[in-house]
Amino acid sequence: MGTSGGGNTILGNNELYYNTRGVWINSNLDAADGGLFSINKDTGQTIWERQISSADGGKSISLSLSANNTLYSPDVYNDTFTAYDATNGSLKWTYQFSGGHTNDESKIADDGTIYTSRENTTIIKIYAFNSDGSTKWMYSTSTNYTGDIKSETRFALTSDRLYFGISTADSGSYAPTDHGRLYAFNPATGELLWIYETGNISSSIVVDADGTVYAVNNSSSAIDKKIFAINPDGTLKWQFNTGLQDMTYNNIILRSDGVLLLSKNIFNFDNYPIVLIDTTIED
Amino acid sequence: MILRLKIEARSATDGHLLWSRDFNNFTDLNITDSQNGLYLSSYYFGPGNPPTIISYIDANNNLIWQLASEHDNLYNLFFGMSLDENGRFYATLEHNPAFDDTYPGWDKLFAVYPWDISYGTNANEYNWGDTITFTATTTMQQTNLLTGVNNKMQIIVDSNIKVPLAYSTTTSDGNTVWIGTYEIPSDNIGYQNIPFTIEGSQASITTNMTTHFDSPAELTNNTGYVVSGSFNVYSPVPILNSISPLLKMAGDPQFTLTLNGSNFYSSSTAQFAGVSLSTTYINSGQLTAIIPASNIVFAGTFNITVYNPTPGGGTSNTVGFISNSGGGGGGGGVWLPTFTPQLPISTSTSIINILNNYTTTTKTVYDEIILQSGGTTINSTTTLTSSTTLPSAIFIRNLKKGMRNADVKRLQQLLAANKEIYPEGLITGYFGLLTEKAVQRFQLKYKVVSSIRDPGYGMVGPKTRAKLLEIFSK
Repeated sequence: MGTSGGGNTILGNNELYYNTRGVWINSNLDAADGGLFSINKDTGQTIWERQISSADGGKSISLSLSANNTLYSPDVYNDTFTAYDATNGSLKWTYQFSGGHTNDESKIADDGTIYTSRENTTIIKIYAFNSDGSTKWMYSTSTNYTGDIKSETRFALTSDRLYFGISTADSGSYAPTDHGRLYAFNPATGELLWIYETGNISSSIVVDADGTVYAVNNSSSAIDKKIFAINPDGTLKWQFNTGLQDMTYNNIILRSDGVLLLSKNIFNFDNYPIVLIDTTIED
Repeated sequence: MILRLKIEARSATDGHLLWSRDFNNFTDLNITDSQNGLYLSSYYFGPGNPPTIISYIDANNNLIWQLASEHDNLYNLFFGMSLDENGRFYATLEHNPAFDDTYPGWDKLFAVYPWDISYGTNANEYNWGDTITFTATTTMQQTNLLTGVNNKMQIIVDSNIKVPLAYSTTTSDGNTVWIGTYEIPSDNIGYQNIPFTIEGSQASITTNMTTHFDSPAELTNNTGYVVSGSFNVYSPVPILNSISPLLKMAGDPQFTLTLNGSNFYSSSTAQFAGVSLSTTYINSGQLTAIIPASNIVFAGTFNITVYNPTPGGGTSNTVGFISNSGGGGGGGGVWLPTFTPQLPISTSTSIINILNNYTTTTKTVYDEIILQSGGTTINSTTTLTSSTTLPSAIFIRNLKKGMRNADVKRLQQLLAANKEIYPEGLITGYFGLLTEKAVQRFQLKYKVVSSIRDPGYGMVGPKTRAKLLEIFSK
């Protein structure tokens, strides 16, 4: 992969697509561009490659692949959202954001609509693009947030819900704010269906077959951490308070057998908790 | 400072904790496979030689394997994991002197295929001394692409013989082929289904499978992947070159026979006229066997063979063992393979006992004898494959002078076996004077009659018939 930052991968039928992020290559802030690649997943042979961006400050860049063989990738450095033909790597369209940076996650609906977001210090905008690059709808959180919006925004998508979780920070990564929310939209229209005050959500959001959405409050050390199970109508199904811990949940996976896998990082060894919670708290 | 990581498995029904696992690294939770196994990337922010590890944990929280990047003084990070329908795992690995993008590092995109080893051999069945060629094909590469350290393979035969496999080639689909040979020993093995295990050891991999590499030892503990198989080794047909002693006197006591040849093993059995003997394995070229005294009661030449059990195996060639009839036998006492009056005194039942243990061919002869003894004239030139036979000593009717029939002939044959009793040895089927005198000698010798005035003297009545049966049944 050469001199670059680590990237993401996504699988096609016989191809593996991956990207690398650009990096600063010396103290003069000279940058090496990242790249976007298609390789034969069996042999590793390169099918096509293209330059995509320069250094971005350390963020890996997500990739999404649609059913019509379009690769979507945000370019954080250039503040764009771009669609490439996965067959040959040619550019299909680019959306130039004005101000702020794109986030690194996008979701593609069965109809080809692609959802992504961008944020600046106090507002965040959610975009729904048609597959041709036209804007289907856009939602702005306006000025709801008093703290800086962190980039760890998360999507989950079902046939009739687009979930979007937000975390915030007043200053620094772990300042004691808890202003995050879970949003639910109509993915077809962008209509805001409901908001659940979960506190900061910077881990992934997962949805089960019944439409229950699972999210974890990932607030700072001064705030209890909670796991939420929220019904599709925005009511609470259950919540689990894991207590006040010097840790953050940073990801959730829902296994096919109904088990939630959560990872959390512990910041203080002395306070390293043994989490054994066997009660369900519904409040 | 991030010091620890915990993975939690919780019920989606109510959030209660099912299990958890601790790591010493910072991590993301990455991807699950179709069996709900978890591929987990973990790394560490800090100086020194931080290992960056991908772990695979099965659905029940068993740690199956870990793959570590081993680059000193670099911050190593795994990114962008994907898992395809074949269970192949793809990720990128970034190396930086410091995780701040100030200086360039380098990256690798790599694929981890489900670890698999298939094997083949140059045959399914082998004989002693054959060379078996193992060909193992595996997804393990010749070299760990993340570390540059050579991987290893070996086969452990029969639980303790380690055969190294050498990298041979890489197939068009990226698998590596490893080949090694093993010569099956030619000593002290018979038909066996011999198990083996193929072990692969990959640098920087820790697995839940134990391997047994010696030198060099595993790069880390339990770096292996193991598959098992077996192959069949058949014992060959034994070859008998000689026996010692070659000659014994009829009536000698039990003795030990030494058999020299090849292709003997611990289950080889010496045989005396087709009947197994108590055999001791000395080495692949020598056996010893106990010849009981009862086997050499009669003079004659007996087939000595060695038998290796099937499958494979079989009966060796024959070497003749001579039971000499003793003094006066003429011709060195060598028994002629014909049914002649040279035979020593014996009984038909003894013969039956032996023949009952003979091979089918010999038993056919025995059956013929019995048939003949029932009334058919025995051809004095009937050739037997082994020892002596006498006609049946069972007489169901009385015999006396003047009679002519097959029973008389049998009687004459029995009496002629002892020249003291019937020195003339004429086998005519006619009960004449010579036969009468022979009967009288028999009766006196075995006290069937108390004096020559006994009314049954010279006739074969119930007492004499019983004595004939008694004597010739010993």
